[in-house]
Amino acid sequence: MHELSLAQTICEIVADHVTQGQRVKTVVVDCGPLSGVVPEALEYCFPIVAAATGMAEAQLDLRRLTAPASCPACDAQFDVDQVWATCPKCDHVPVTVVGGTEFRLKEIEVDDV
Amino acid sequence: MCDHCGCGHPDGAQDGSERMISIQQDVLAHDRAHAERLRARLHQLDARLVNIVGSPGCGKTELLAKLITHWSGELRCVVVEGDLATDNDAERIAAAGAPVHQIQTGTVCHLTAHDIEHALAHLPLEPRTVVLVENVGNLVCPSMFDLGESLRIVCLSVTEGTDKPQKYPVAFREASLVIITKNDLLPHVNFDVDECIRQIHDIRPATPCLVTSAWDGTGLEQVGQAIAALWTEPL
Repeated sequence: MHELSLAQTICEIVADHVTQGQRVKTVVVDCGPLSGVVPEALEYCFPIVAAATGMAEAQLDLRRLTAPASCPACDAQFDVDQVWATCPKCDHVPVTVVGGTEFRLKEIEVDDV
Repeated sequence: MCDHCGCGHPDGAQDGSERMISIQQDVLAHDRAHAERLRARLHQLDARLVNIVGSPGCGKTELLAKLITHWSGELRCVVVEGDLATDNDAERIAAAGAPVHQIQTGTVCHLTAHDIEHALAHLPLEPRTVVLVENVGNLVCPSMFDLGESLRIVCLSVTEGTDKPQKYPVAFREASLVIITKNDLLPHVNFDVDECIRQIHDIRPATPCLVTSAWDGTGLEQVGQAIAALWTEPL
């Protein structure tokens, strides 16, 4: 349950990018399935931390990414949702995963108070 | 003026004041920067940090205590212990003869590089010191956090089941050395060492694996050698 501290880090980075008189409306975060982040836990924690850091109206827009992978044996291309995965076409293990560990604060939407 | 009803209330205004600010920042970049700074500082001091991760009760503390007691190399050891509560582990390490600092995290499930920076203020850091960090017993959350280590050891005991790597793959993906502990209990449990190592290699091929027993001393010398080898590897 480290999502509470991750929510705190997100709110700290957001605070560094807004100026006085700006209100944060949306916080857009990209999250890969292999990032180790539990999206539902982060969505639960975020409003609590946001309210405590003066951005109670901020909504978290958590965008779930895919983890593209390929099979070194049969060259099949597919998405995986966990680190330990087998090729859906030929059952080869291990497969080559080329993404999915992203956990990135992409952008924020602000307006003037 | 409000676009919806013309009421003039500023809360309803859709006058273009809303805008997107691009950030594009890795959320853990701040933690990673702490870890990189700490790793560089330790290398400057000719010291190295080892991050030891594993489930509660997998034998991390006993392994450390026996390593310290039988340490035959010229390296100095200091230990940072992480637990939610108590300083029981620090007492065991102190009894084994190493300087130790206990971090009590309260409810937090992992240590961070920032925690370690503060802990090191309480410990003697001399050249050729290995900082052995026993992370909070947890095979999930600590995987995400770089502590500034030069070696990450993931411990797994034979009492935990052969398929632990398949169940907790992220921890094993991030391991630079896997230690299978409590080998002395192997005759009493249903654990297949070869199959477990095969699963580890399915997740990350060629990860070095050592079979140990803190009880009878099996494999402890090889663990010491793996740590000493950190002084011959580039940063």
